[in-house]
Amino acid sequence: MSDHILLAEHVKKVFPVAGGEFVALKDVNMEIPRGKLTILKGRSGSGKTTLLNILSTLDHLSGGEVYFEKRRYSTMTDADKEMFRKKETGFIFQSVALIPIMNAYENIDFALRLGEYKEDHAKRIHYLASLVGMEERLLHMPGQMSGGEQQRIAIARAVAHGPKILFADEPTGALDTEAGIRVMKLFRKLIEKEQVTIVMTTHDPNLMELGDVIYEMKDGELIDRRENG
Amino acid sequence: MFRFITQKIKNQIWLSLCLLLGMSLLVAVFSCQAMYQKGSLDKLLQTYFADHLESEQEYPAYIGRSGTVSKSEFTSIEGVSEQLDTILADWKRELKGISFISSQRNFYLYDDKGTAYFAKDALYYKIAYMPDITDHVEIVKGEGYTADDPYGCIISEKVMDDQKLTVGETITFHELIGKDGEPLTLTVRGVYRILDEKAPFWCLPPYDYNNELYFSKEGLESIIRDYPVNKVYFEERSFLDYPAIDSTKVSNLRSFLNRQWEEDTSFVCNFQYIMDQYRAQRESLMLMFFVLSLPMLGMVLAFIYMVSAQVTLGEQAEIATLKSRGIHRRQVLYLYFLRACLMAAAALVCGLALGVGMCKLVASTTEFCTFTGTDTGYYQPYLGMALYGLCAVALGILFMMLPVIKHSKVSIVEVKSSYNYGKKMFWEKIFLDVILLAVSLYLAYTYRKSIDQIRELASSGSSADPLIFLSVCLFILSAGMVAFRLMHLLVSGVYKLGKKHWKTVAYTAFLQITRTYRKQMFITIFMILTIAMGLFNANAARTVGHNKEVRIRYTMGADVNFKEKWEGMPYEDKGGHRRTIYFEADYGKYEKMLQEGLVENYTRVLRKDRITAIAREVNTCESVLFGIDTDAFGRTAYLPDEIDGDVHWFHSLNALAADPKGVIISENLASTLRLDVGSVLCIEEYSSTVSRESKRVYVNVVAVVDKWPGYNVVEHGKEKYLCVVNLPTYMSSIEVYPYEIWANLKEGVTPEDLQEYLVSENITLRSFDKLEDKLLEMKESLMVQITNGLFSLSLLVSLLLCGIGFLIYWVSSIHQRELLFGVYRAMGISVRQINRMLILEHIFSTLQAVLAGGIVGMAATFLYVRLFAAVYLPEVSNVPLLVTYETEDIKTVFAVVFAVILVCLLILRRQVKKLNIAQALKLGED
Repeated sequence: MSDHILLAEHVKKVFPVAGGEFVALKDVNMEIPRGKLTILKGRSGSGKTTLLNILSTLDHLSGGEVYFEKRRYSTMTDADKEMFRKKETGFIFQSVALIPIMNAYENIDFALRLGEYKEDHAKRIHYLASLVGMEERLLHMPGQMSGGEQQRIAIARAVAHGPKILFADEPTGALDTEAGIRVMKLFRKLIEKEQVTIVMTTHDPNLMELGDVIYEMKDGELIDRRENG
Repeated sequence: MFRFITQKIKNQIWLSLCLLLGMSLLVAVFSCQAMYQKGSLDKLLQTYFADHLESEQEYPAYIGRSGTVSKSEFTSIEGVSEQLDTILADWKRELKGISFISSQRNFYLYDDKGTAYFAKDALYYKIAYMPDITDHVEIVKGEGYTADDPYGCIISEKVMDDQKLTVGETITFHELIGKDGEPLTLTVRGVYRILDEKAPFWCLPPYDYNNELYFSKEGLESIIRDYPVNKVYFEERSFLDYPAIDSTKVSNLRSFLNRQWEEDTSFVCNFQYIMDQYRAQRESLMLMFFVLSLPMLGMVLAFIYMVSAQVTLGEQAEIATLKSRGIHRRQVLYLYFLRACLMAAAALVCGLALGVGMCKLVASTTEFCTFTGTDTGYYQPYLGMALYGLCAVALGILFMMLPVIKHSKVSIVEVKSSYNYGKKMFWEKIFLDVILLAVSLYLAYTYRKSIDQIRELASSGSSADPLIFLSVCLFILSAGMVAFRLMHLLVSGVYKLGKKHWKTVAYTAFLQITRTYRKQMFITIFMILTIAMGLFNANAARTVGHNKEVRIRYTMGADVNFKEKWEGMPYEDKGGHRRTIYFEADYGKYEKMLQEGLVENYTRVLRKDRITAIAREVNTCESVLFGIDTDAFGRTAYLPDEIDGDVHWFHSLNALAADPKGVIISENLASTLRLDVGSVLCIEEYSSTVSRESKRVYVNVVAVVDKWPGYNVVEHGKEKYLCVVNLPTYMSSIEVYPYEIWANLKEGVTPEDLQEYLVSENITLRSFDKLEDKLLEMKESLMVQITNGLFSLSLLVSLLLCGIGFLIYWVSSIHQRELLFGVYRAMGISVRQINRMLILEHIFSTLQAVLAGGIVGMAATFLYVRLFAAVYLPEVSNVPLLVTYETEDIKTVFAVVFAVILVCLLILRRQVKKLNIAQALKLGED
C-alpha cells in the first residue's frame, strides 16, 4: 500500500425514504493516495457524490469509518469538521463555481481570509490567477465570465489557502470536452505546483486517462479500482 | 388551465398568501374608506339636524307651502286642502326614498289691514283652524269645539294663562262686524294641552302657539263667509323623516329643493342652509379623506407590487423556459392575469369583510391609536362599498401585473447571464430623489411663509390645500430615497476603510450589502417610509389633539365652571333701562366641597364680557373683565409652564395681590391705550346708552400679560382686550354681579358627582360646564376623528405591511441564498458565523433603515406639523402652538419594528440551522 491521505473502511450511508430506507453506500472500502489525482467514476445514482460528501465531511456516516491522516471522522465534532474543511480542504462544485456577489479577485481573497492565510493576499491571488490563466479577468464578476473561466477561478479559490486535499464534484460536468480537458490539465499542474491531493467524481470516460487512481462505483459499491501508469 | 394556476399558487403558497393579504387590504382600505366616508357624512348631516333642533327648538326638516287665498277666490277649506294634497303627492313621488312622517296644516284669517292678529283691548289673537289638532292634544278644561257651534274655539294652556281666559268666556272683536251688524263674538269652549311636545307635528316650539284661537272647519268657514275677512292664509308643513336622510339621498333632495325654489314662490323649507353647509363641508371632508388615505393606499399598492415582483422573480426561470418552448409572451401574460383575477376574486370577499371591521375600528377612535369600540351606529356597510372594492381589485390587478410585464420580456439566455448588481436605477442616475427633496423643501418653505394665509383660509371654512398634505408625503418619500442613497455610501465607506482587515464574516456581509443593496431598495425605502410616516402621523395627530386640548383647558380654566342662581331685584334706571341688583349667595358654603373630598381646589371668578377701559379720560376700549381672588385663582386656574411666557404668571398675580387697586391688562390693551406698568386705567361698567348710571373705578396697571386662563385674544373673529382686577375691589366699587366657581375635581370624582352634590345642597345652578364634555366634543368632532382614525389606520396597515414585507424579503432572500450558504458551510463557515453575517447585514441595512426612518419622520414633524396645525387649529390664539410627540408612540413604532426584525432573525436562524449542506448544494445545482 502506498502512502495514503484518506482511508475509508466499511463506509455505509443510509437515507430514510418513505416506507423504509435507501442504502446509498454499502460497505465501501478505499484509500486515497497522497499527492495524486483520484477519480470516482460511475453512472448517475451510483453513489459517487454521496461518497465524496462523506469523504469531505459534508455528510455524516451511517456506518464504518473514515480516517484523514489517522484522524477518525466519527470522533470529530461539528466544529472540528468545520475547521478541517476550512484549513485542510478545498472544494470545487459542478455548477456553482463562484460566489455571485464577489468578483474573481474577491472570491479568491474570500478563501484566503477564511483559511486565515498569513502571507500577502494580493501576491498569492495574482500568482494563482496566472496559474489558472485568468490574470486578466480578476476584476470580473462571475456573471461576466464563461462557465470554464468561472471553474478556473473556482479552482484557484479552492487551492488558495494551501489545502492538503481538494474535493471536486463533477468539475467538468457543465463544460464541453475541450474545457473539461483543460481543467484536468490544470489539476495535474496543481498537484505538481501545490502538492495537493485531488479527489474528483466524473462520469465522463474521456477523462479517465488523466487520473492516477480510478475507482468505479455501481449501486453504492466499489466494483473496480485501477491505477494508471 | 385552472389546475395549472392553482398549482402555481400552491408552489409559492406563502408569497401567494401575502399577495392575497395585500389585495385584501387594498379592497379593505378602499371599502373602509367608502364606508367611513359615508358614515362620517351621515353623521355630519345628522349633527346639523340635531344642532338645528337644539338651537331653533323646531323640527329640523320640513318642507311646505304657505300663501294666501283672497276671500273672493276662497271656496272652502277642503278646496285649498285638495290643492295642497295634489302638490304633496307630487313631492312624495319626486322624493322617492325619503319618507314623510306627518304634516301640519294651518289656516289663519287676515283682516282688512292685512294682518293675522285681531285685537281685543290690548290683546291679540289669531283666528285659526288646524285640521288634525284634536289628534295631538287633550282637552284639559271644557269640552272643545263642535261643528254645530261655529263660534266656539279652543285655546292652549299658555293662552289661557297669558290672556287670562277661562272656559265659557267670550271675546268680542268690535272691528269685525258681521252681516247681521253685530261684532264677532267667540266663546272659549275648551283648553288644550299638547300630548307630546316633541312630536314632529309641533314643528315649531309649542310656546310659539301663543295667540291662536282654534276653531272647527265649519266655524272658520262661517267666519270667512259672514265677516269682513280679507284673506285666508294657509301653511302646510310636511315633516321629512330626517334620521333616514343620509348622504346618498342628499343629491336628490338638493335638486328637488332647488327646483322648488325656482318654480314655486310659495315653497317653504327650513333646512336649506343645512344642505348648503353640508355641501361645503362635504367637499372639504372628501378632499381630506382622499389626501389622508393616499399614503396608505400608496403603501398597499407598493406592497402588492413588491410581493408580486418576488413571486415573478421566483418564477422568472419558468417564464423564460415557457417562452423558450414557444409560448408567446401574450399567453404568459394571460396566464398571470388569470391568476391575478382568481386572487382578486378571493380578496374581494375577504377585503370587504375586513373593510367593515376596519371602518368600525377607525370610527371608534377617540385619540391617535385609541380605539374605544363605541358609537359606530352611523358607520354601516352599504352597497357602494362593493363598487369601491371592484375599483380596488382592478387597481390591484394592475399592480400585480406590472412585475409580470417586466419579467415576461426576459429570455432564458438573459436569465442565465443575469448580472445587474452594479446597474444604477433610473432615479439614481438622474438624481430624482435629490430633485424631489429640493421641491418638497421649497414647498415647505413657501407654505411656512404663507402660514397666516393658510390659517385664514382654514378659519373661513375653505378646504385645505391638498398640496400641504401631499408635500409631506413627497418629503418623506424623497428623503427616504436620499437616505437610501446615503446609507449605501456610508456602508461602502465603512467597508473600504477596513477592507484589508475585515474578517471573513464582516467581509462577506459588507460585500453582500454593498453588492445587493439595489435588490433591497424596495424593502428599505418601504421601511423608511413606514417608520417616517408612522412617526409623522403620530406626531401630527398628537400635536393637533394636544393643542386643541390645551386650548380648551386654557379657555375653561378648570375642570368645572358653574354659576349659582342669585337672588336679584329688577329696577329701571334713570334712562329707563332694566337693571338688576343682585344679592351675593353665600360663598363660604363651597368650602364643604373641599371637606367632602370632591374638589382639589376652587375659586370664584367674575367674568364680564363687556366693560369699558378708559385711559387718560379719552381712549376707550371694550374689554373682558376678570375679577379674581389672586391666591385661590393661582392655585386653581390652568396655565401650564409649557404655554406660559418667560415670566411666570404668578409674578403678575403677586403684583395684583399686593395692590388692591391694581389691574393686570393684556398686551393688546396696553399697546392700544398706550399703557404700561404704573399707568392709571379707568374701568367702567359697559353701557351703550348715553344716559349713564354706570360706576367706575380707577386702577393701577401692575402687569401686562399675553395669556390668562379663560382669555382668548380673538373670539368669533373679534379682538378681545383683558383687564384682571381684585374681585373685592370690583364688587365694592362697581357692582355685585354673579360670579362663576372654578373647581378642579379630586381624582376619581366625576363632574356629575359634584353636580349631584350641589343639587343635594339645594344650590340652584344657572350653568354647569364640564371640561370633560368639551374635550369629548372636540375628540368626537369629525375633523379630529377622521384625522385620528385615518392616521391610526394608516400606521396599523403600514406596520403590518412593513412587517410582512420585511419577513417575505428576508425569508425569500435566504431561500435564494441557500446554495450560497451551502457553499459557505462546505468551505468551513460555521452556522454561528452565518448568523453573525446575517446580524451584521441587518445592522448595516435594516438598522440603518430604521434609524433613517426615525430621522426622516422627526424631520417631517418639525418641518410640517406646524402647517398641519394651522389647518386644524386656524383660530388666532395667544396660546402658542406646541409641537408634541409622545415617546410612547415612538417606542411603539420602534418596538413593533424591532419585534418584526427579531422574529425575522429567529426565522432566518432556524432556516440556516436546519440547512443540510449536501442537500443545499444539490438543490442549488438543480
